[in-house]
Parts: sequence; structure tokens; C-alpha cells
Amino acid sequence: MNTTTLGAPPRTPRSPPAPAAAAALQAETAPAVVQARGLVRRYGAVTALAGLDLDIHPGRVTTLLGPNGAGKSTLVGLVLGRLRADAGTLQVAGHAPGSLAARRLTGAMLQAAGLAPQLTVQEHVALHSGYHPGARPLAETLALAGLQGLERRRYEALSGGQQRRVQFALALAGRPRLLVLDEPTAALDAESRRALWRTVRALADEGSAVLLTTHLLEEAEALSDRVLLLAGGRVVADGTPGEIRGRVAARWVRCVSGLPLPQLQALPGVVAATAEGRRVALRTGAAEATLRALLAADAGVAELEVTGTRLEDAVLDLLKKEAA
Amino acid sequence: MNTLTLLWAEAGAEWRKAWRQPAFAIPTLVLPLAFYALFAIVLARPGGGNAAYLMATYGVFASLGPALFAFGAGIAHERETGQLALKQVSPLPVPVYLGAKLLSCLGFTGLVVLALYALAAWAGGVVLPRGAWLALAVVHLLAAVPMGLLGLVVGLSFGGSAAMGVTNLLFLALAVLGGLWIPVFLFPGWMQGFALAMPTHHLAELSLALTGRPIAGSVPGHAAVVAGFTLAFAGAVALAWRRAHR
Repeated sequence: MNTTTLGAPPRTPRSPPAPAAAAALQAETAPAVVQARGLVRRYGAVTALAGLDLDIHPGRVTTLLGPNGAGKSTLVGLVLGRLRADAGTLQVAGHAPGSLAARRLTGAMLQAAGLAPQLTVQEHVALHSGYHPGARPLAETLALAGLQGLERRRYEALSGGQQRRVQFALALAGRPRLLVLDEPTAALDAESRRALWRTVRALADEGSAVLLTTHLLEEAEALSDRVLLLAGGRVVADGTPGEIRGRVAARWVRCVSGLPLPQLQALPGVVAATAEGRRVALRTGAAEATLRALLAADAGVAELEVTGTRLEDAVLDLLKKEAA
Repeated sequence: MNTLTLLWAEAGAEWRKAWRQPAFAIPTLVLPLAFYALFAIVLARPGGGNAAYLMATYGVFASLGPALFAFGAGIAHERETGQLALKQVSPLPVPVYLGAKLLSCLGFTGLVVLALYALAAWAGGVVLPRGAWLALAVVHLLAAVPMGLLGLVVGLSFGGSAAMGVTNLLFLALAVLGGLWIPVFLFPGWMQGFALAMPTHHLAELSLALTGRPIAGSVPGHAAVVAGFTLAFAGAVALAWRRAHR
């Protein structure tokens, strides 16, 4: 497989120490909850997943980041047993995906999901909790999803964001060992989004293996222990959020400079440098550091310009570099 | 929660869903009773025996509404709105999901059938031995099983609006051609042939036999045909479920 691996993902120092440390310890020793090897899935002539390997560990948030059509939802569909792989193997805690045993261990929030509009929040959560042996108490689930005060409201009377939170409540109600969240914050406002992130982090620290998909770099950064950058059905980068940011959240620094190309490439933060005569373009993961060093090294810098890159561009960039 | 408790909870949710949707609940409950009141009581000639005859056939008709609309159009709608997907990834066993729908369907049918019997006994003057009432109730309730399975095939095979259309067509064909509204012996000969292809006709013949009417064919014969339809529909459900799931 043609992946770019950036080394084993260490835990980020974001979480509170005691439970996180315990979870981290567990993560090192516990076997992966999801194990995928060489997964292939095609839709007619289109290859949505082209031989993907993936391990998802307990106590960690593993994020699939990528533009639309990268293969994120296909992978989610396979993990949940809603799709069948054309080749490769996939296990959820040793069970076949989609089997009753696997579903008992899994909580899922789908991208396009609905619930019966006539039932109330409490009825939905209570009913779903009954599906899982060892589900959380109702009040705990409602609190974790931020649904207090809405218990008696019918689903149809909720806002889009509130409906999404009910779906989140159903996903976490069963204390799942595997929590699958497919674009969970798509319809949420900024505040609900942050609340959901906090809860997801807490669930991971509790020991759940979390599989998250998103096309928002910010979301991947706020939550993940490990980010897989997906494009064209393949993993094009695999690392900590910081490492992925360095590769995809890059900025372009363009200017006219007299420095030779090797020296430009060696500037701090620079991941790629091109030059046409004296006109140079640097891609950097740390624009400020790069600029400081550049200005210090070359007093003659002119026509300086710093611009952002989009995730889609960064992914295309990585693909091109790989092909070269 | 064990399977039985789960089934009960899920059936309760189905029941509440149906009740809170008056557009489904009211026509389903009222239509058979209103038709029966009109044709068997208001428009009946005194002493014509229509009240007992139509009670037998309208009891079968009562099972059509909940079964075809809750299962047929209902499941198609749940598929389109992503409700079924959530159930499919949750650890709810498929038999419990389907069984709960069937139970709720039986509940609705039971309500209508009981009201129908009350109407027939008090306003229509229908008198039957206690055992016959009981046997009749069993046939009318069990009619919901093949009809529910048929609705399920439609719901799993068609999208929301197409399922609604197909369901309406089936509803009419099963009611009219099956002889639930107008006795089959009043049909022209070529139409009577269609009746034989309708499971509702055989259910109606069974019901008529229980009210003491002479029927064409034998009770075991009709019962065997109904069982055959039920098995065929169950097989079709299994196929359609597999196709819809993957």
C-alpha cells in the first residue's frame, strides 16, 4: 500500500491526566477494536476504497479526514456492516461487521439518519437503551448529549441541531466499545459542536474506541489522537493532528528572493519549495516561523504574499507528490 | 432486556407512532366500521341476512388497512427517511423489529374487529354461538399476518410514493375482487375467477363458514390456500429484506 506514515501516533497532552493516562495505557495494551486489512469496495467502475488497512484502538479518537468522495462514508458503511467489502478482511472486536454481536458493541451516528417524528426524546432514548445490554441510565445519556429539558418534546418539534443531538444520544446510550460518528457536527451550531466534542473526548477517555469522519480540519484537530487523511479511497497521510496540520493546513508564502532553493527548503516549517528564477513559492506548516527566518536570511525579499490553502488543495498536493 | 420485553417495548413504540398519526389511525379504524354501518345496517333490507354476511367479510377487510398501510407505505417511508438504517445498525434483532410491527398491526385489527362485532350484534341483530364468535375473531386477527407480510414486500421493494400507489391498488383489488364489499356470487363469471387468486377471498370464505353459511369449496381447502399465500409472502419478504439491506 502506498501510504505515507508519519510514525506511531503518540497521545496528545490535551486530556485530564488520570483517566486519560489509564485509557492511554489501555490503548497500548488492548487489541484494536476494529481491524481492517486490504479493504476494497467498488461501485461499478468507481473504486471507493482501494486496499485500506486500519486499526482503531480503545481510548482513542481516530479520525478519517478528507474531502467529499474520499471514501469516508464507504468505510463507515463497511464497519457498520451496511456494505460488504469486495476484498479484504474486517473485524469488529473479533466479530463480523453487522452481526448482532458486533452491533451490541457499537453505537453509531449516521450521516443521513432519521427517527420517528411522533415519538418524544425520552421515548426514543429509552427504547434504544433497551437494545443494549448494560446501557447507561436514561438521565446520564440525556445529560451527556445535552438533552435535559427536551425529554418530553416530540422529535418532529426539535430543531435540526437538537435532532442531531438525539441521534448522538442513541449512539452513546449503550456504552459502546466502538463509537462511530459519521460527520456528527454537520448541522450543529458552534456551541453545540464544542459540547459534542467535549463529550466525545470524555467517552474516549472512558475507554471507547471512536471512529469519526469529518471534512473539517478544525474538528479533526480538536478531537483526534490520530488522523487518517483519505483521498481517492486511500490513506494519503496518517499521523497526529499536529502532523496532519503541518501537511494540509499549510500556507503559501510567495515572494521574490535571492536565496538558493536548498536554503529555502531548509527554512523552518517549509514542506515544499519551488522557484522560477527569483520568484519562489514555499508551502509551510508554520508560516510565522518561516517568515521570520526568511526575512532574517534575505534582506532583499520583495513582493511578499501569504495565502491559505484549502483541505482539498492540500490533499491534491499530497497525491501529486506521491505520484512524482 | 430479554427478547420478549424488547418486543413489547418496540411494539408499544409502534403503537404510539400509529396513534399519533391521525391521518393513518382514523381512516384505518373508521373506514371498515362506516362502510359496514352503511351497507349492512342502514341500506339493508330487513331479514335479508346481510348483517351477518358482511360482518364476516368486513372482518377480513378490517385487517387490510393496518397491514397494508402500516407495513407497505410505512416501511417504505421509514426506509426513505433513514429510520430503518438506524434500526439496522442498532442491536435490535430483525425478527423483533418486524414482530413489533406485526403486533401493533394485530392490535389495530383487533380493535376494529371488536367494534365491528359490537355493531353487528347490537345494531345488526347478528346472533352466533359463543364458540363461533371466538373462531371468527381468530380468523379475522390471523388475516393480518398474510396481509402484513404482503405489505412488507411492497414496503421493502418500492420507494415511498410508489409504495403508496401500489398499496392503494392492492388495497382495492384485495377488497373488491376478494368479495369483501360485494359478495363474489354477484360478480359476472369472468370476475369470479379473479377472486380465487385473492387471499382475501379465501379468508372471507373461511369466515362465512364460521357464521354458518354454505360456501363453495371446503374449509380445509381454503385454509390450505391461505397458508400457502402466507408462506409465499414470507419467502418474498426474506428475499426483499436481503435486497433492501445490502
